[in-house]
Amino acid sequence: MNQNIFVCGCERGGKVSRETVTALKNKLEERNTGYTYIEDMCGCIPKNPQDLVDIKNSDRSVIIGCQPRAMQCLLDYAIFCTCGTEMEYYNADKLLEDENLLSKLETGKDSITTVEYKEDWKPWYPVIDYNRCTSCMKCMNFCLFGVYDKDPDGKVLVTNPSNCKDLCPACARACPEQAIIFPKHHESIINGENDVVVVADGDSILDKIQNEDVYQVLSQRRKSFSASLLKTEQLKIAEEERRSCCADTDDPDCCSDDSSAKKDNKSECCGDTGENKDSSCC
Amino acid sequence: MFLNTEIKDLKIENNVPQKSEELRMMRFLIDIFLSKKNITPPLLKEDVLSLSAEFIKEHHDYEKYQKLLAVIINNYAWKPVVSGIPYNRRILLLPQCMKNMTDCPAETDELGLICEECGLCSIGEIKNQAEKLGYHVIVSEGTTAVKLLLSSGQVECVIGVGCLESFERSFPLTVKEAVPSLAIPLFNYDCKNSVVDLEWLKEILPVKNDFQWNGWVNLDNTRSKIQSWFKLTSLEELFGNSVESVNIANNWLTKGGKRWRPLIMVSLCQALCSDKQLNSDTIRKLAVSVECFHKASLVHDDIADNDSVRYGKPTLHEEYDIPVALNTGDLLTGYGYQMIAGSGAGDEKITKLLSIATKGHSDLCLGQGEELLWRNKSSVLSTEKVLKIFSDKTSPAFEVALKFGAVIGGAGQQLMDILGDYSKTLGIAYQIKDDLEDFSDEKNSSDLNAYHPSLITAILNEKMPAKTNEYMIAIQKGEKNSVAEFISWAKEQRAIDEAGAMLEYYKQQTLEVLVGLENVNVKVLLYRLANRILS
Repeated sequence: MNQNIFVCGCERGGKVSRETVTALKNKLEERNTGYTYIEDMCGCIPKNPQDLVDIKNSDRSVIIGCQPRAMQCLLDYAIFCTCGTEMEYYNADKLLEDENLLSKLETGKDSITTVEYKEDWKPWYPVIDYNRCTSCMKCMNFCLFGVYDKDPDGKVLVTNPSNCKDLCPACARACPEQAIIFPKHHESIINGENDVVVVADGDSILDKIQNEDVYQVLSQRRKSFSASLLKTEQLKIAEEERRSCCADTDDPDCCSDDSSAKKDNKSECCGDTGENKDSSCC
Repeated sequence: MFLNTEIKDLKIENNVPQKSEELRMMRFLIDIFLSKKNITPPLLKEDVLSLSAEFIKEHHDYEKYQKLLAVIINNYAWKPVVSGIPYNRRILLLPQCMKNMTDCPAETDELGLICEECGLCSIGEIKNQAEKLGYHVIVSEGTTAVKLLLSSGQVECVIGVGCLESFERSFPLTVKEAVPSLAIPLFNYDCKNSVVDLEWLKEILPVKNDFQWNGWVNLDNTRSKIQSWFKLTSLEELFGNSVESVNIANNWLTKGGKRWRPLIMVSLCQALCSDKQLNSDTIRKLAVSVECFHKASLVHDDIADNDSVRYGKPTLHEEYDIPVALNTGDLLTGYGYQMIAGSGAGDEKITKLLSIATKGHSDLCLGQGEELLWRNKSSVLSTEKVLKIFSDKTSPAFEVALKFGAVIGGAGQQLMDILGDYSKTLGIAYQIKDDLEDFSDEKNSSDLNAYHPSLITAILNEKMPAKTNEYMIAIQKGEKNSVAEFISWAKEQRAIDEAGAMLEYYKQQTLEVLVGLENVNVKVLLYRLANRILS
């Protein structure tokens, strides 16, 4: 069985610490376990995806790096068909603490290869978790910089990752489904670490109280409520973040500070349904 | 006589002193007053009223606060129990009228207000403090949500803030479900911008003691466990399946019914001991044993009453024939004793169990015998005689189940005596309820016949003997519409209402028997059981 281990070093973002990466490499080398070191997977995916082709050509690929869910969505984004491959994702720090799991990592090879990332651009862009995305287009309408577009089927895509403003996670906050991940962000609800998603269901709480565990129903009610408060809070922060991104750009026409004029400006320059694919104006 | 026993409420105002100090003083005085007494919750309304009347004799100034006194007395009774319940199993109910009526930004759902802790009223702060401890907080309007919560049967503890009037409305519910509850009254009762005594509330919220609390007996879970013991495969483990007679008996045991007797037995064991102390095989065998006795008596009853349907299916003598049915009943009785002998409960306990079972068995036969002999005389019984037959016929089965549970749980003589009294009134109430059900529907009253002693018929007979007798003869002959006409006549004569009042009386008696019980777990359980069996 062709089995490979890939370690992402997150060199352009520091989501995984230097020390962790070094310790992990040492552990693998001590055991003569070969692996592929990827300097920065977020960077390689839009810039030199062909270098990562081994991931999908293996029977089994173990990916070690930041948040498993983030890495998984990132590889989905790379339009890598990993369907024939058994994929496993581990957080580097957690893996280091788990000797038992470490000892099970085997490739049967001892070669170490490196996938480099040589671009100046610091990779910072959103990845979409399509298990959650409902294609509501809120992110596309919220983003002023043309990062998003949709395909003919109405699926939202990240078409221009390099248009994204460094460190701005505003669209992730605006997403009602928590489907947008910025792998290098520090907040767990944005970087894909926190996997909690609050699903509103139609059943009346009064019915639930009679038919389900009262205490669980009440705890869930409180959680949903804090989540909805959090969401309101997040939207406020998102507006603020977007505003400050606009202040940094030179294009006063497209990115007005006046939030009420935003929509009009956007439709003039980018086309508000995204039919006009020219998003270079922003 | 029964109609007049309802307690008449004294006219009392919804009066609450307007100062924390005064309220504190009242609590202090009640503490001293009650510390001389032995008080175990749940308290009945009558208990609370008589205690407050006694208190007022010593403290005349408090006469105008009788409702408030009742609240404080009830709190005193429950406080040690509530203190032993973990915070995360307690629910704090706040009234919506505490909110800022004009500027409250919060939204509501069906359960009530979803507080944003904006700071415009005291709800946010209280909620925050309670939730930090682990409480579940509900800010509700009206009593609908409260009713639903309490009647869900799952709520383990409630701390409620409200006006005295709202407490009065929800008190019967907390008694019915025996939910440990503390109440903190609002200063006002005009339902707006309400204010609670924060000092009192903050004193109550953190109460806690080291009492090892294992949760109340969950009757629904216990019942489903018991149901699994009466699946065919489980029964075959005990009795085998190689002989046809055994299969008939096993199948009969699997059939319907609420399994009240095993439920009573097992839940009482659980209330007396923790699960760990209980040998599940012993309990299972004894639960099967009480059900065997019960099901055996049903087979024989059906033959004696010439009933052809039970649980919506043919009775055993209909499905086979009378000799086979008689024999199956005998076999089940044998199995009942076999289960006791092989229960592994220990010699001493087995001797006790046998003496309880044999006494129950003979009591039941004596009760049944009286009924059977009456039938030959074709006269309508007096109400007293009917009540005696009810008690003789039904109480032994409850008593056996309860005392089995008590023996296994290691109960003392005090509880044994109380259980005897409890089953007497419970048995009577249960039969009255059954009687009322027979009279509840004119069109569908196949259960009503002249062979069953009926309290309602007895009441009618005392009012108008000639006409009652006419109806009885018509029903016996199977004349068309006779049953339906008899039922509507019983309604007209208010005999059904009178029987309903007697049901309430015996229900009340059943709960009053428990006054002296000191084990809260057992007391709460017996309250809940009585209410479930009789509702």
